[in-house]
Amino acid sequence: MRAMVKPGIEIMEALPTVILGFLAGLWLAPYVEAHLPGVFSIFLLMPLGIAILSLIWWKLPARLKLCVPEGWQAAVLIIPVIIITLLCVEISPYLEAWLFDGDIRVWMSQELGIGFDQRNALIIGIAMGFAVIPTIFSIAEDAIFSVPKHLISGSLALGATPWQTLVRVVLLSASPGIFSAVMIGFGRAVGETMIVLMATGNTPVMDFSIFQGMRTLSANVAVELPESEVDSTHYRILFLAALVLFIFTFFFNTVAEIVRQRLRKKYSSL
Amino acid sequence: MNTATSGFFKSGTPWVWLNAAAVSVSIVMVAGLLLLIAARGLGHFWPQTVWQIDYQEKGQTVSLLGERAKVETVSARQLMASGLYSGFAQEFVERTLLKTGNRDVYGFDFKLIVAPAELAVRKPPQVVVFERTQWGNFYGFVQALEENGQTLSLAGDQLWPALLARLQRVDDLRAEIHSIEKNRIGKINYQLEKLRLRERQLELSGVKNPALSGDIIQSRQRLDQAYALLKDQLEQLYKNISRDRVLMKVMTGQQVYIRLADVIKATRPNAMALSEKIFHYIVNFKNFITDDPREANTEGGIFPAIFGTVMMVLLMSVIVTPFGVIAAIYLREYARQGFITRLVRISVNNLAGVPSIVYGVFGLGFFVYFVGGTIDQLLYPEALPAPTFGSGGILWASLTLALLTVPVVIVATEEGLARIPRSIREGSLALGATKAETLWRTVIPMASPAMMTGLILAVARAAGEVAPLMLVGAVKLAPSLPLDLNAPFIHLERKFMHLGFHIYDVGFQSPNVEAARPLVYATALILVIVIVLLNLTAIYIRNHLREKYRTMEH
Repeated sequence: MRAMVKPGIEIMEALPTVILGFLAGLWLAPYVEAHLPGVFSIFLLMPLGIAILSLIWWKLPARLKLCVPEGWQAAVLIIPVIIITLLCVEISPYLEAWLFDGDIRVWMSQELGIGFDQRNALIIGIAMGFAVIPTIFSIAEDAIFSVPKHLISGSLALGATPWQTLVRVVLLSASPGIFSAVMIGFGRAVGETMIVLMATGNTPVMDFSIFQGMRTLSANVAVELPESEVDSTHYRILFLAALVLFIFTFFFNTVAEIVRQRLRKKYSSL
Repeated sequence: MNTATSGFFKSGTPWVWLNAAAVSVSIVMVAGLLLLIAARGLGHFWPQTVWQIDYQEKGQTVSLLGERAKVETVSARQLMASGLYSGFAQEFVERTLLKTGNRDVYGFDFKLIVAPAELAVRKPPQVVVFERTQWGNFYGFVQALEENGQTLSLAGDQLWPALLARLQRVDDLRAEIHSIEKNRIGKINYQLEKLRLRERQLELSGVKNPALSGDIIQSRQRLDQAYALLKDQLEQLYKNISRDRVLMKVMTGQQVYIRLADVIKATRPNAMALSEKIFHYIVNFKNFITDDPREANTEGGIFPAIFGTVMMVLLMSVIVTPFGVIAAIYLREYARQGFITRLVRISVNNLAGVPSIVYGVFGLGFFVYFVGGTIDQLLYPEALPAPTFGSGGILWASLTLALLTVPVVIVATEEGLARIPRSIREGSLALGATKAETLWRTVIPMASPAMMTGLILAVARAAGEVAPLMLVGAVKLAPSLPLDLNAPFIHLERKFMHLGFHIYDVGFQSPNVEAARPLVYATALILVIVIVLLNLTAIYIRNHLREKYRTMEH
C-alpha cells in the first residue's frame, strides 16, 4: 500500500500550483457555488459515513474480513469515498430546495447576514489544502516511519492494541517530526501565490468570513510589482512585503529543520 | 451489544478507518483532478456536433445553431428569482449553454437556453463551421461562392468541394505571406535596427568616420530597396488572397459575406463519419501544438509557449546542474562535517522553502534592474533608453529559476552520494586510487542517476513555476521567439511565453474567458502530462537505484 500511495502523493506535490489555481478558480468555484449544500454535507457525511462503515466492517464475519489484508483499508475505502461524494452532490439541489428555500446564497445573506463571493476563502482552503497535503504528508510519514521498530514491538508485547501503540508511543515520539511537517506546510501555504491569485477575487478586504474574497501578501506582490515604478515608494513597499514573507518562511523553516535534526539524532541514539 | 460497541471504540477501529479515509480522499482527489483535466482537455479537439435549437423567447420563436458547451440542471426557483423566466411548474430545469459563435453577426457568442422553452432540436447535416482568424467560430449554411465579385454558377452539391479547393489555395497563399512577413521582412527589420544602433554608437563615440557612415547609408539603401520589392510582392499576394468570398446564411436568416482569406478551416461536423472525426481530431491536436495563438491567445495553438518553456528549462538546466552537483559533492565528500556544514544544509533546505514569489522579487531587483541595467550601460549604451538586458528576459528568468531549483539538485545528489556503500569506496581506496580518482571513477558514475533524478525534479518544478516568471520576463505574447535565424541566433534578452503563464493569462486575463476555457484545459493537460511524466521518470530511477544499492550492500 505504502509503495503505491507514496508516488501518488509525490505526483500530487509535483502538480504545478498554477493548474490547481486555475481549476480552483474556473471549475471548483462555480461548482461549489452551484452545489453549496452538497459541499457542506460532504464535510458532515464523509466522516460519519466512514465511521458507520467501520462499524459495519467490525460486525462482519471474520471470513469476509480476511479477504482484505491488514493495512489496505484505504483501498477498500476509495469506492465509498467516491459514492459518498457523488451522493452529496446529487442530493444538493434537493437539500437546497428543502432547507434553504431553493437558494442558499439568498438564505445565507437574509438569515445569517453572510455575503457570498464565488471566489472565496473556502475555495482557497480546498485548493491550498491540495497543495500542502503532500508536503506535510511526506515529512510526517518520514518521521513516523523512522520511529525505531523495537519501541513499537515493545508496546505491542506489553499488550497494547495497535491503536494504543500509535497514539501513546509512535505519535508521541514522532511528534517533533509531525510538528516540523506542519511548520513547513504552513510556510508553503503562506508563500503560495498562484492559487491565491487565481482563486480569490484579489479583493483587499479584511473580513473573517470564509465566504468572501481576500488578498495575501504574495498575491499582492505578484499583482502590483510589475506595474510599480522602479525605486518609487510603492516599489520599496512591495520589496518590504517580499522581505516580510522571506523572514516569515525562513523562521518557520529553520525551526522545523532544527527540530528535525534533533529528532534524527535522538532516534539514532535509541 | 454494549460491550461489543465499547470494544469497537477501544480497539481504535473507527479512528484507523478515518485515517485510512484521509489517504483515500487524497488519492481520489489526485486521480479525479488528473481525470478532469484529461477529459476536458482532450474533448477540446473533437469535432463537436452542431445543433439547431428552436426555442421560445419573449413570445417569439427563435432558432439558433451551435455547439452544446454545457448542459446543467438548475433550480427553477433560482431562475425565476432572477426575473428572466417565469411559469416553471417543475422544481428543476435543464439548461443548455449553447456556443453560437457568429460574434460579429449576433453580438454574443454564447446563449443560455432552458429546456422547457425548447421547441425542436435538430442536427442539420449541411451546417458548416468556419474557424476564422478573427471573431471566433462561424456557424451557418453555404449559399454561394464569389470570385472577384462574380457569383460562380455552381449546383448545390458542387459548392462544398469548390469551397474546399479554394480554401486550399488561400491556405497556400497565406503560408507564402507568412513566410515573407515573418522571415524576410523580419530579417530586414532586424538588420535595419542593427544599422540604427551602429549609427548611434558612432555618434556616441564622437568619432567622425565618413567611410563607415557611408557604409551604413549604403546598406540602408540596399535594405530599403529589398523591402520595397517585398512590399510589392506582398500587396500582390494580399490582392490574390482576398479574391474569393462566400455567401453564408445564418440561422436567424441574415446573409453574410465572408472573405475566404479570413477562414482558417471549414468543416461539416454533422456530415462527418467517425473516421473523419478521428482524422480531424488528430489534425486539431497537431495544430494546437504547432500553431501560433490568435485573437488575444483565446484561439489557435500554443507553440510559442511550449518553445519558451522548453528553452527556459534547458537554459536553467545548463546553469543549475554544475552548480548543484559540485556543491553537493563538496558538501558530502570534502567538507569537514561540523557546525558549518550543518548550517549550510539548513540553509539549503530553507532555500527550498522560500516562497517562489520572493525569488521573483529578488530576480527583478537584482538580475533585471541591477545586473541588467549595468550591462545595458556598459555594453549597449546605443540602445538606451530602451532596455536590452535591463528588462525581463529569458536569461534572467532561467537564472531566477536556477536559484529556485538548486536545492532540489543538491539534496538529490547528496542523497545519491550518501547511499553509495562504503565498501565500494574503500575497495577503490585500497587498490591505491587517490580520493579524487575514487570520486571520479567510481562514486560519481554510480551517483549519476541520482543527479539525473535531481535534475528531472528541478526541470519539473521549473516547468510548473509561474509566480516568479511573471516578474522576470514571461509575457502574454512575445513578438519573436528567443531563437531564430538572425545572428547571433540565441537572443537571451528577449521576453518569452510560458505554458503556466499562458494558463493564467488566458484563463483569467482574457476578454472572453468562457470561449477560451477549453483551450485553457488543453494547455493545462499538456503541462500536466509533461510534469507527471518527468516525475514518474524520477520516481522510477530512484526506486531502481535503491534496489540496486540494497543488493550491493549484502
